[in-house]
Amino acid sequence: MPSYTTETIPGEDAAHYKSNRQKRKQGSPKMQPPLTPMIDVTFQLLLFFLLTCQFRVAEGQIPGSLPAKGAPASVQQPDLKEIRISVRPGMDADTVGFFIDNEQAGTTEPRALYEQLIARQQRLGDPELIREKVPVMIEPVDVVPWEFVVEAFNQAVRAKFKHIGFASR
Amino acid sequence: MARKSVMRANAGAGDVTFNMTPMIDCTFQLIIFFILTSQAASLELAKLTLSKPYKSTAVTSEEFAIPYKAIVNITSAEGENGGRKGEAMWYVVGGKKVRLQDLHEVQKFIGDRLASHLKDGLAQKDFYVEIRGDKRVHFRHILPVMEIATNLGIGKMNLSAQIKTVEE
Repeated sequence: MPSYTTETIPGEDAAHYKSNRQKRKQGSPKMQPPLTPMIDVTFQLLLFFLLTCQFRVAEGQIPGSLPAKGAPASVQQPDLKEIRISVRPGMDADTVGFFIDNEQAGTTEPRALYEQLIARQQRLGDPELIREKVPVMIEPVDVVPWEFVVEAFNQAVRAKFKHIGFASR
Repeated sequence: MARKSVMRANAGAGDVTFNMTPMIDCTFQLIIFFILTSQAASLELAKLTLSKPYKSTAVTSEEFAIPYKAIVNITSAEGENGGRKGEAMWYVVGGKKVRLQDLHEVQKFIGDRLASHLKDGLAQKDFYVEIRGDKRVHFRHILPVMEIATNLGIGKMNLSAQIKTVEE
């Protein structure tokens, strides 16, 4: 058994001898799967995602209730009057005024509206009971942007009122 | 002499390759990112600008306990084909655009949804209307939707808004 093999190189007649030591040194041949199709598909996918993706704002819902058909907005205690929040256009087209129970001193700030609602709860008695029993009615003027109506609703929910409804003016 | 120069030339002409592995790694990272963060767009949700109330109390749909709803989108006409400030463009219900004067179609949509909900043996109190109004639209375009829901005896209504941000 010879300890070498012969190797022929194309275009040459002579046989080249390759010893076992040379073969061991050379190592086993590397397996190289074709990567090109995979890279092609990967780039197609990447391009698809890049072109179609749209970043959305985090969206949620403010839970509310609607009055029953032909019934008052909620069960009202005889001695507890509802709180009405009027939303009227301001001097500037992009502002509105929030007025509680048509008081002269309104506010344009949602934070101030929240504070006024909390103050109203404390003035009327037990805040826990007031939140539970007193309905809040939001009365926006027809031409008020929806953004400010949602703002008034949100502040009423923040103030933990349980019955919040809408009315048109 | 000539033989030596030929050998030197052959030695310099090796295959030029560049390492593709880091590039493929990055590409896969990007694809995984997009797959994980992408959300299938719902036909029911029209493209509009939602309100962002101060210290928003809005909760995500997953947090909200009642899954049965009818979504009514009200899109703004502002900046579209000369639409005036505060004007609404469409009511979008079930992925379908409805003209403002065709409110009966909105009523039919909500009514059908409610009927199918009741047909499944579920209670009416477990059904609600979600109002997704563009923040620029005037209240007068939203009010009719509320009236429709009231007339159908639906007791719950949710308003869509942006969720409170971390900096608030």
